[in-house]
Amino acid sequence: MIALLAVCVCVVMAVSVYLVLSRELKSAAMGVFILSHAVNLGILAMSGGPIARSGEALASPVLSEGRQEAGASEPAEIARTELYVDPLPQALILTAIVISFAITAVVLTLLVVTHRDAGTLRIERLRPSDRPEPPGLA
Amino acid sequence: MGVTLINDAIVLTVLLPLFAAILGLVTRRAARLQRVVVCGVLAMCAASAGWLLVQLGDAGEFVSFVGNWPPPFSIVVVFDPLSGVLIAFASFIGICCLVCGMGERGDSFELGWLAPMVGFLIMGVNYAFLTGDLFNLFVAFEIMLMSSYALALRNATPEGIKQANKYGMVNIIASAVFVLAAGMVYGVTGTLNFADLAGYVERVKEVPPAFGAAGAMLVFVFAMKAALFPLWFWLPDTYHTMPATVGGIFAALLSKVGMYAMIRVIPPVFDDVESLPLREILWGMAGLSMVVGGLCALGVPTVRRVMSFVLIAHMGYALFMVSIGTAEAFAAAGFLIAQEMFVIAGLYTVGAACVRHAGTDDLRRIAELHREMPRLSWLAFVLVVAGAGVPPTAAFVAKAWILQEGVGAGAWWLVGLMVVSALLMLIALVRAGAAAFCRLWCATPERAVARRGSARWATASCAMLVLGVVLTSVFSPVLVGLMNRGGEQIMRSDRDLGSVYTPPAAQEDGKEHAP
Repeated sequence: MIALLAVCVCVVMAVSVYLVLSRELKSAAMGVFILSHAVNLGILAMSGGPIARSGEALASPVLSEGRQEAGASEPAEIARTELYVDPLPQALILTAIVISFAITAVVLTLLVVTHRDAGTLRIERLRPSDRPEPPGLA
Repeated sequence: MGVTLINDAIVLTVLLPLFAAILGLVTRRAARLQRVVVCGVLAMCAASAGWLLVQLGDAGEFVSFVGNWPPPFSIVVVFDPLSGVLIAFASFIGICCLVCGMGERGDSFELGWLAPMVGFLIMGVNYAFLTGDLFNLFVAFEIMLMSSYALALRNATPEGIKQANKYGMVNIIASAVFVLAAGMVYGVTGTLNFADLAGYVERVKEVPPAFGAAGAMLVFVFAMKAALFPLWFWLPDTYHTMPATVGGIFAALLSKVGMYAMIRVIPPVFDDVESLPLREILWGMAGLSMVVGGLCALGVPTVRRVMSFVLIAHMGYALFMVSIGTAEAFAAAGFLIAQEMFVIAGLYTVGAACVRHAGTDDLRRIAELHREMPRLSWLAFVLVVAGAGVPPTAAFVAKAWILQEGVGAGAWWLVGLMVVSALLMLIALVRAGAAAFCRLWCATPERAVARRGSARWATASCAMLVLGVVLTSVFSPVLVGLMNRGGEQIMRSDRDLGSVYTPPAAQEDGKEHAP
């Protein structure tokens, strides 16, 4: 499962890097959106088998018996909690997804405003006006 | 070594800017009322940070367990002398930015968004200073960046909008890398808390290489935010094209947050990781930032561009201290970034005043502003003296302290580079000041460019920042003491896990926890 996820992350990340490097802002923005998905998949892959500090596999840190002293629970519950997946990476991913929604909205607005103002989204036409034109770019 | 105390009032420093932002949104149609209300609430925030610093007394730090959950589950916020000073200063700089914004001209709809967005920006910055874990640091960065995108686009020139694309893109990519690094750290260690992470390398015998990779990614992210050497390219292009009002607050706060995160996270957590040659990376970045910043500051033609490179060189000095990684070095870095907030914001505000008055801050097109704006020119003189680190100012104390720590650590070549860079910056700042306020190049100053608002409020904002510079210089012994204790705290949470993890003594609903 982790290997499959790792391949997915690699592919998605490669696509996003390719898009970010393009000379057109719309594609670069798409690359950024895809990058956030790659990152979320990456966190999911990392959370697959958290390695404990001592080396043994860890169950969910919130519910496992290792933390019993903090929140007292019934023995029966402890047995059941071994079946739970660690919820924290999922909380991280959810937060990251919400944030990337907002970022997507901001970036799209930025693209619209840029296009309205500059009339183009080609990166070479958007360089600072106080810089000399680089050679080889007609 | 101070003790850790529980004090839930520290979240006020995050909540008050939030209230300021919300009140600013509600009163958006009444411009004056809005400014007064938001400035008032931000002043309360600065005051509450000062009050908490007084309350702190000899104790090491205040912590609050958000939601009163017991330690391993709760989100921890930590208020130590270093973060306290930075929070107080950041809130004050928010007020200065709003004062500067009063003289702005433009569409009244867009102008009304300045105060709420500054409120949200200060909230994010304060939260970044306060937070005790890596993921909440990311969230704080995002709050800060989201409002900074809005501020960069609000009332922007077409040129500013073009450059905002670069700013946005760079920061979004850095944020994505940050989340991935946070996920990797959690996957390897099972924790995100700074104090818990700090002991990780000592606890395990063999550190997985993924941990070193995550460390390298975090260095990348924080270096990007702090505009350090290989990753500084976006800053000089973007900050000087932004609306004049917000350049100061961006330069003063955003890069400092990156450097603060660097101090908090990188050396305490990743210092002894074998797969990561941390010292060498940080040394290289610090040395090159100093020299490149100093050299470029000499060669660029506009006031705010010069200040961008001055900022980059200052970040290099701070990183030099981070790379040494002792409590005293962290204290010196903290002192440098705290006092530099006022200096750099003031210098940018001088640029903003030039833009408002003459329509441009291009040194080839302005001259003899001293005759037209004598008060601004004296303020600029103080700021140039402070920026160059000439003796009576706090900047001199900071630089001397850094040099002393550098010599103590035996990093001679970095000390040499820093001296050269400080000299270059002195020349660059004096040159910019002379060109703008006296006569250096421009024979016939251009007045054809339309004025963009009144310089009066920018001058007032500048005066407030100069007051900040003077106060930090006068009270630099107090500040040095606070910073020393802050540096000790960083090194302490570095080695002593129990400090942050003391369970709450008694919860309000009377539930007792096992000791």
